[in-house]
Amino acid sequence: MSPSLRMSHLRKSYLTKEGAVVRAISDLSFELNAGERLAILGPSGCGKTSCLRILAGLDEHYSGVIHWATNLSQDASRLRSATVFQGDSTLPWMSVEQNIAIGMSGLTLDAASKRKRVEKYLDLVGLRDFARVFPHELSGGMRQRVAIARALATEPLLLLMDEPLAALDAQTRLVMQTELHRIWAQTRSTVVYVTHDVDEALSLSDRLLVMTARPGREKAMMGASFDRVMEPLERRSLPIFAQMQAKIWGLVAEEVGQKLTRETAP
Amino acid sequence: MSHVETLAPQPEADDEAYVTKTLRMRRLLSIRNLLLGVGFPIVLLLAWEVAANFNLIDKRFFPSPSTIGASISAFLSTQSGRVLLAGHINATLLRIGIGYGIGATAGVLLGVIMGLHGPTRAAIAPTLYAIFPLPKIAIYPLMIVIFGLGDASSSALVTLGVFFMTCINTFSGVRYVDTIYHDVVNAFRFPPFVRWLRVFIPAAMPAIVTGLRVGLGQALVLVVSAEFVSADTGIGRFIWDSWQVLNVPRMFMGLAVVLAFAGIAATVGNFAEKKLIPWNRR
Ligand SMILES: Nc1ncnc2c1ncn2[C@@H]1O[C@H](COP(=O)(O)OP(=O)(O)OP(=O)(O)O)[C@@H](O)[C@H]1O
Ligand SMILES: [Mg+2]
Repeated sequence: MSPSLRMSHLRKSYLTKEGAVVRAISDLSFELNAGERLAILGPSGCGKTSCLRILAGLDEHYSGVIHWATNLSQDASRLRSATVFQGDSTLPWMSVEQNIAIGMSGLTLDAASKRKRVEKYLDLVGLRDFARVFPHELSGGMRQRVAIARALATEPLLLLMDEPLAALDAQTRLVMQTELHRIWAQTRSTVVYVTHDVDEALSLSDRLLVMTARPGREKAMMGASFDRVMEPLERRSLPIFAQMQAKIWGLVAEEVGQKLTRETAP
Repeated sequence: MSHVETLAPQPEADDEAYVTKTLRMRRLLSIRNLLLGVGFPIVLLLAWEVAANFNLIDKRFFPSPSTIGASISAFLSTQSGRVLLAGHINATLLRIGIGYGIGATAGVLLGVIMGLHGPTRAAIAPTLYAIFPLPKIAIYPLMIVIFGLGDASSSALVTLGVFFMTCINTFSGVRYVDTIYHDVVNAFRFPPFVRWLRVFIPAAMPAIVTGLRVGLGQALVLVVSAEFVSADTGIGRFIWDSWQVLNVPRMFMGLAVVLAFAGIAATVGNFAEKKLIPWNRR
């Protein structure tokens, strides 16, 4: 299978208002095959959101090369990439269903198929009864589910998710993980999934990238060693899950420790 | 298993009681606030009445409310009085209507363009902010030179005041749209039309409506001031003339008309707020 996305030697620095340079990503390369799911883990501030913004086309000030496979079809009923943002990104002047529908405004879809997708993804995130409600009448977790439905409804070739379930309670999160897995099994989007939750990363990915503390680099890249279509709950029941979990925890903890000693150092 | 039963929700009755109670609380609260809001000015009027009747204030300039009321109704009971007042009101409303229509349209348009287009913003913003603090009535003489005495110059003054208010508010509303909306719009490749009409303008709408509201207040201030100075007609002229001939009750009638205008403007503003920014309600 040919890579659908290749990122080579990505570097990203920010210039703060005071004119100081903050190096966010120092050198990051990876390839993603079509339909593959990559989970990115790493300590806070290591450049995960920065990387996702670059992939989403929201930030063009970086060095390195991002190569998209040319055979990414020109299918006008799917977006090339869609993003679920880390914070609240619903539009407060639109009802839940309008929020989902407007995500598709860049697609060529007739009204009926749009309507169908809205219904489908409303059901999927469990907000059917709230279709006509406005975001300020929803809880934070419900708003995040609206954002997820909005991204999914575009049936993107590349789905970028920045801690999409962090605002949800543990039970809803587990249900949503299963749902996200099922949706992926249908759409086979390529996914880049940022999370702090090791279990979630293992449940939902084919490969895991652990990043170092800022400036972020690759610390480890590993396969999730499950059958790709295996569901989250089933994965969790396998002995290898716990082994991988321990290993990844070790890697992440090392970096978090590093970061803390560095930041508390004078 | 009986203890499980007690844990089971038995909401219907409770819910209903809660709903009735909350609704009653809300109703009581709004009645109380209404009574307070209406009662306070009544108390003020009564105090005024008493003070006038006991000669605590100068009755030549502050006749008691009942005297004012009596002379207003006497004035309005004559055909000629009604026609006179209606003529002045119409003249003022026409000036406000023209000035506000042109000023608000131009202000919102330029505000949006400045928010959208960097070079226009860089060129215009400094000048706009430099002129803005100038009391508009101070350039009325220039307006008279350009537009002559009367309707055109007072409408022009209103236009100018309303334009500045709406333009600056719209501009800052569009300019400071939360960055997350820019991200959403770009990440999902919204077409330009959708970006502006369904995201940026609604996001700026609270600021636009504020501009339209304060613009209307500004229009009222400016039209009355302009009429004091130059016009033959209008409610400002009516107030000023009454004052010059020391017909104080008629002057108060003019003030009451201005207050009524302001009240209508505020009501229209509230309505516009409910219609245009329903998600913003508290
Ligand atoms: N707009 C910005 N201007 C300056 N520095 C920034 C900006 N955005 C991010 N940074 C810096 O870049 C680094 C990486 O930020 P980023 O948001 O990518 O981290 P993250 O890995 O997503 O963290 P978290 O897990 O806490 O969300 C941080 O140290 C941050 O201080
Ligand atoms: Mg982040």
